[in-house]
Amino acid sequence: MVKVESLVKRYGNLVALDHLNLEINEGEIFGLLGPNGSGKTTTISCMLALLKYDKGNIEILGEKIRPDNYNVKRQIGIVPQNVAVFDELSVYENIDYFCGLYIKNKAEKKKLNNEAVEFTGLEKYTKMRPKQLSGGLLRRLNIACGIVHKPKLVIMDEPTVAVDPQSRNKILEGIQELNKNGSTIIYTSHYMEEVEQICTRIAIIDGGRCIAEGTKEELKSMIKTGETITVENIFISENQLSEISNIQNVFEVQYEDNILVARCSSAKHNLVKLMNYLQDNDITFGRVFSELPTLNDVFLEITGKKLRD
Amino acid sequence: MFHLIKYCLITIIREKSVVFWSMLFPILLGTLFYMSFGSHKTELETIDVALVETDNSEMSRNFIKFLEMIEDDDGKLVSLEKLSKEKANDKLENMEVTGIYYACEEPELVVTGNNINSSILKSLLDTFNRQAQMYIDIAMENPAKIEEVINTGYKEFVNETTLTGKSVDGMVQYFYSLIGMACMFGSFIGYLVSTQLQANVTALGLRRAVSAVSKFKQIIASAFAAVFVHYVNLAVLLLYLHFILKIDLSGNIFKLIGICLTGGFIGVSIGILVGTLSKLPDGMRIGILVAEGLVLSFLAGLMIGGIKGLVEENCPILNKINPAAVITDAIYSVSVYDDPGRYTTDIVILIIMSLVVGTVTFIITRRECYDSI
Repeated sequence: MVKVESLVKRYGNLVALDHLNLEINEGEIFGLLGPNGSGKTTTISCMLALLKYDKGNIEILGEKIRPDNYNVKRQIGIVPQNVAVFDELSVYENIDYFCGLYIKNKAEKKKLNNEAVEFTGLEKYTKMRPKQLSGGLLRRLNIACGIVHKPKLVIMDEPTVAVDPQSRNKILEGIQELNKNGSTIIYTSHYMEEVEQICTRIAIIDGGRCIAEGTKEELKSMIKTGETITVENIFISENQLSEISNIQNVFEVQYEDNILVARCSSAKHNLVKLMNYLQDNDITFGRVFSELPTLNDVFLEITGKKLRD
Repeated sequence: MFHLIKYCLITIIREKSVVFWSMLFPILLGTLFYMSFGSHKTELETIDVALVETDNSEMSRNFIKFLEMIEDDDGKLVSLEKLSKEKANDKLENMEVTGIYYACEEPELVVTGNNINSSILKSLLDTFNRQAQMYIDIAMENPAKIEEVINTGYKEFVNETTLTGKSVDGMVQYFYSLIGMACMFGSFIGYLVSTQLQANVTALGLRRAVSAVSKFKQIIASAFAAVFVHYVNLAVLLLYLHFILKIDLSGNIFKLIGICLTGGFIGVSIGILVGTLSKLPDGMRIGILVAEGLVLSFLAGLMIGGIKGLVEENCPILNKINPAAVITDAIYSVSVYDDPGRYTTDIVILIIMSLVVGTVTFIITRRECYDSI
């Protein structure tokens, strides 16, 4: 569906994309994950032929993407990071306007408009102006305008920024439904939970390069962390901390503000071994958590920095 | 295309700030002008003037005949009183008359003050002298025509200058400048459609840029809608000035429309151009639009009547490149001077401006691929 080969984009001396390679297959929800400034939006802009790039090649639906390749553009829907609608038009008029950029037949347009309204749950708000909508509804309108013409490829650039949790869940469910209905989706975000929740394959971008790619399971298997154990309200000495770090499978410990974080490689009974040590040494503690690795762990381990700086 | 134009028209009409600046503001300003000074047209008072006949030469008789025709005109610009030299001097000293005309071989004028009435009397004398010289020239070069010219000459002359008519109503110039300003304020409409088109300015522009409709079509549709709305605004303003405020916009209506078509186009194009200045913040670009409209209109005489003349004296090129000044001048040439040559020059300048601004704007806005967004 989408093939990005050795893409290079420079802004003066700054290298925004550094020989980026991506391949997105039909039917996927492909997550483009990276911190702010990692090159996600630049990648999207190049894919949409909005940005000139210095090197590389981009193919969408088997054709090289160019600004005047309207056949390909007709198959693409975009949901930009910032809400992109006319403030002066009502919800329905906005959807109708963007549908009309792709569909000429009036009857078909009307049908698609109504489907988009229903899909995004905006039935009650069709006559309202964007400024009268809440943040969540506005985001849903932004999505409706991007998907109204039923594109084969939908590109969503951080569509849930500044959205309340309830609306976010609704949006994420909608994206999955859209995918079930046949659209391939490219989803960029710096919210790893969202990407983990909906994406079938993920590429992690940092510094304009793809540093890891695969399903979430594949990505997690790439790293050493198999389990992260957190113990709250614990009081231990330097010596005890050193002994904990020597427990089998524990490869990293952090102790700060009476909270102990122990990273363990993937193995059985890591938690039991740590609890046994604390009991044997008569160490009191509060709550204990054991977490499986997240994409944040993947990112942290690969790049050495947190995803949301 | 209809789809694009329809929605562009709706967005322009519903944008309150655009409607205010491009339509309501000129009407409001026109109403304020009218309330301040537009309602009482400048009626020139009749000037009392003494006439002293010092000899009985042909020139003297012609001069008296000329003055009597002016006196008999409907406007009653002057009131003549034939007096002896001494009595005339007495009346002048007592300020009972503004001046004394001496009808002789070389007609003369004596005035005491330097005011508008004195200027008008001086102007009448100059006009007579020019006219007389013209007869002398014709008599020398084509004596057969002299009788015909003499029989029609004075009357035609009086009709053409109509000093009490619209040409001396100095307040009308404010309304002409207002039309120039209204043309320039089309820039607000141009700005709106421009920002909605540019992918490097708004997210909306970005979404439209990646759609299946070419940028060319979108620009044409937006520009068409913007110019159309602006022409409607200008038509409303002209109708309001002419029919409600009773401002004399007489003259060739088609020529006035021509001025508004080209002037309005320039206004919209400037707005589109300012909208493409993506590096500047929104507020600064709006500021540029307001300043541009007001400064150009100020230099065209919107706020101070004599400023256009001052510019003409000190930096005449400014009046040729200031679209508001050219528009004002073109309206003058139609409504006051009835000078087709001057009108043509102005309209050609406006067309050239339209082509230059329109072309530059089109080249910038049609860009589909950017170096940075």
